[in-house]
Amino acid sequence: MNDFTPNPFKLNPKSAFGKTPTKSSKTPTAIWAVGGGKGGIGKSFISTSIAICLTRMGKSVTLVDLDLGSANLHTCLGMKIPSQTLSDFFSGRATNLSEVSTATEIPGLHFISGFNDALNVADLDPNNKQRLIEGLRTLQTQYVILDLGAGTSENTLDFFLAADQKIIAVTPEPTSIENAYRFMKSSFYRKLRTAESELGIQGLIETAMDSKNKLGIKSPADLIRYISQKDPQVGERLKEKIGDFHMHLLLNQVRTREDIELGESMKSVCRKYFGIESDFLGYIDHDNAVWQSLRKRRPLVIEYPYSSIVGQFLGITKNLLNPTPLRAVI
Amino acid sequence: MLGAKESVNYYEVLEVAPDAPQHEVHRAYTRAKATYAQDNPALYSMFTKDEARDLLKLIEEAYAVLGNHGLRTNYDSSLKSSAPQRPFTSVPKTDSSNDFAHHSALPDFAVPDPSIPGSFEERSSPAPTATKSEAFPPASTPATTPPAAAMMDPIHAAATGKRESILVTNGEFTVRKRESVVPLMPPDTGRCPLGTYKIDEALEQEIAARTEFDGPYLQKVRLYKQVSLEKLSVASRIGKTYLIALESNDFKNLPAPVFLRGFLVQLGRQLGIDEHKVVSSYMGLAKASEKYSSKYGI
Repeated sequence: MNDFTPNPFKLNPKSAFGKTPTKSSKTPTAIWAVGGGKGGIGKSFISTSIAICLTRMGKSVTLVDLDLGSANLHTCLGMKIPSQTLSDFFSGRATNLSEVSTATEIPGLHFISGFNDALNVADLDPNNKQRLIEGLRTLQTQYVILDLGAGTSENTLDFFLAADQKIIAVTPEPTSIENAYRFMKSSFYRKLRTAESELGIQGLIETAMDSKNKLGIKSPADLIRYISQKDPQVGERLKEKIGDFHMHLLLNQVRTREDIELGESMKSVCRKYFGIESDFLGYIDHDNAVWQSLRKRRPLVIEYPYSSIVGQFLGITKNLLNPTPLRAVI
Repeated sequence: MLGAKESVNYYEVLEVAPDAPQHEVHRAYTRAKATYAQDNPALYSMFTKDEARDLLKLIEEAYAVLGNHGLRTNYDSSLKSSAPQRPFTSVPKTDSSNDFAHHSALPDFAVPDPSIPGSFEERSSPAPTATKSEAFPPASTPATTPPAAAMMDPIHAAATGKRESILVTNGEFTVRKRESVVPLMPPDTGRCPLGTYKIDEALEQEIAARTEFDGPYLQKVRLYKQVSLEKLSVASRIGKTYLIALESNDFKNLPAPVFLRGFLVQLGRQLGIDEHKVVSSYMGLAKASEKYSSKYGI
């Protein structure tokens, strides 16, 4: 396609994008995580596409495959398995995370593979997890994008909670919706656990949860409301602690208009249930181009740069970078 | 939800900013209603059906206040003084206050008599829920017609030239001539498109002779005919907020004349009174009112 028009995303190391922008040492690396609970809803596809869109906006990005045990992000990127992967970092063969980072053929994009036959996300020990999270912050790119695996294992939740931007991928199917909520609930309670130990209010939450039926506590929002009533000061601090638990909902494989409304509905349900603001980031249409590009083992953004989904991804990436809502001026 | 319902803020229920303009409140309300509708997949595994119903009730309650200019102003000032936050006192005290909780339990008949066959079949079917009754019979079909039958009815009516009522028995459709149902009703029972009621001869004559219909009188007719606000709202497709405003002569909260006229026609038909009289007298009242005429520039 597009033989007659210049392809703006054509890989040309001499183009304006050819120079890899390096992070100034003052600005910390921003971590974005893509999770969602269910498998096969496009988490890897979304993280790859957002990462490439970010490089198109002149940012430097490291894409990290944290789907340990079934890492396949290199295939999404159309690469071979890099010689160095996260397992080298965990085993100590590589002391620095940047040693296992590989430059890709896409200017500005680096890649850390999680590929290892023996490594599973559940087996990751806490020391290595901490080392990894700290290592991600010190990477020399402006943005780090984590592609999380399916399921709600503790380690996956911790990576998700460590991120600055938490993206929940969901498709308009009951199974995906259920797992997305499951994932949100699990990560929310994990967040609550750390917050309560930091505030020293385990007792308060435990008593509330013990008699939750008597108190009518059915959701986290009720729990927080109850704690605020019991002790307004603690309630305020708790709200502050969990205030950064802000999720972005991203609807993938949208086929009808009603599907899009699901995004707004889920946002409202999250607010009523968790008592916390989340936002509906946008939606990606269901498109055969995704499947075709995957078959070719080439990222969609590179293979079909003029497709409507790439436009949607660019919009979503812009939203994440600069979350000012667009308002019609009348 | 939590027992501490007093702390519920209507703006939080509808998820709008306290300074949101009226059209945003309305949009938030429609969106919230769609979100917590029974069959929305977004609720799956988060809220049970009962919880969703409670939330819907709360949403209706919030919009009844925030959707009304006067009540919203009152509510805002009560929020500021952080006084009790459920100022429901200013809503006209009709049976509507019970409607929120018990509308499905409201009897269609003033004196239900289970010994009379035929006239009570519908009651054996599950009580209509808020979403189910969305497809309630249009004005031309009798009240005992279940929703599915509404589509069949006009065809039959056209073919036979008679109005028939279709009753559901054991999940099958049975067509029954209307004439065979009517005599089975108690002799002093009247019938309007939305149900039956006990006839009061003096009042019947008064209504028939009446030419001036204002809000309170329309309410009187409605209460006399045993029609709940909820039911009327569903059948006429007029929002409850508007019905309340209509019945309390609250012209400031009524829509533009072209819509108001349509509302009045619907109202007259559903209550079984002459819609022309209702329209001409009520429109006259509205246009004479300073608040209404200045709002719409007439």
